[in-house]
Amino acid sequence: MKHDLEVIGISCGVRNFRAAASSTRFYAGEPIHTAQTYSGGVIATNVWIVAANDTPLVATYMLAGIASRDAQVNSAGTVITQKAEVIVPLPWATRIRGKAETPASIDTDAELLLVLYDVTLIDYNSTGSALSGPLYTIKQTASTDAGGLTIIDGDVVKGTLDTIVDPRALRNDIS
Amino acid sequence: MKHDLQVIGLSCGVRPFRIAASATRFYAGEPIHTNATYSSGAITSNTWVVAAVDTPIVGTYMLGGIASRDAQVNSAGTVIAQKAEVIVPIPWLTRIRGEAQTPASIDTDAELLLVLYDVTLLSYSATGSSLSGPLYNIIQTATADSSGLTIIDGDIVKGTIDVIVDPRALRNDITA
Repeated sequence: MKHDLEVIGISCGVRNFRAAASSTRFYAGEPIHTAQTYSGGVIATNVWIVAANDTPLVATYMLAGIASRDAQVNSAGTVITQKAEVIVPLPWATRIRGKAETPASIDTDAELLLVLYDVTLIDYNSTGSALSGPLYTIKQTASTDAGGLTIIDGDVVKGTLDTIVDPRALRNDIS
Repeated sequence: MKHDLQVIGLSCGVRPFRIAASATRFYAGEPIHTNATYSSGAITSNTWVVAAVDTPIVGTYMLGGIASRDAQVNSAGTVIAQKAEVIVPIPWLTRIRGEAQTPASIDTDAELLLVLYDVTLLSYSATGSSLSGPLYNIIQTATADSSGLTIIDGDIVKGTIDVIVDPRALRNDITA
């Protein structure tokens, strides 16, 4: 949902990422990524999409960043070919902040401590938002060592988590 | 020892790192790290410590950064549970500056040239400081390719070395 995720602190700034016509509509504060791979140095597809999975899983998804403005659409609400404006995180530096998937699980300092420095993902819930659309949160429960985000801080009152991005989550592994 | 290491230039700023009660006392300018590992994404320990070994070895230690202030202690001088303030380096960018382990080995430009772009570690000497406490400096003689710092510059007059941090030294390798 719009503004689910925030970019905190120094970043690479806003960069353009090509989005294809008729791709899924996205809004500011949603994660833009791709599952593309390389072959002979050539990427399989040159366009990016809003995440419709938990992301960024190292070696599976490449995270571009967080959309800084809504997708451009035509009068029918269909996404047009465009250069999406995306805030690109600086690996290990820029914080991505979002609500915890289950805020009640980090509403005490002792609970927050137990998840600090775990590696995790942005959670995607296709109908979880207040508008029954996508909801993006931060998983407070680690599930795989390939999670591309590291939890570095949180707010036990607001139920938010701050993460930083592993550089390997910004490009698929060299194969 | 206090102020052994300096952080130069742009960094991630100061971040809080949890320290357990009764951990080893540390001072501003000392390196904070952990040897924790991951299992199913969960880290084995959520607290960090001041380095008591040469660090950061990629795949073994994760460097938090350089403490920006002394540890908080109780009246007995014992470290209390706290959020340490640590300056976090931006990989490949932020410089960490410290005295060379053997300044005489880099006191000419020709000698400095020979160590540039070598990968190295922060050296830990348990009683090496002038106060007989820990001394941290930078090893000018490379020993292992897994070392997490790259020497990028130095001062042959002051005997200091500037290093930058490999991003792999900030997180243990993915094993699953």
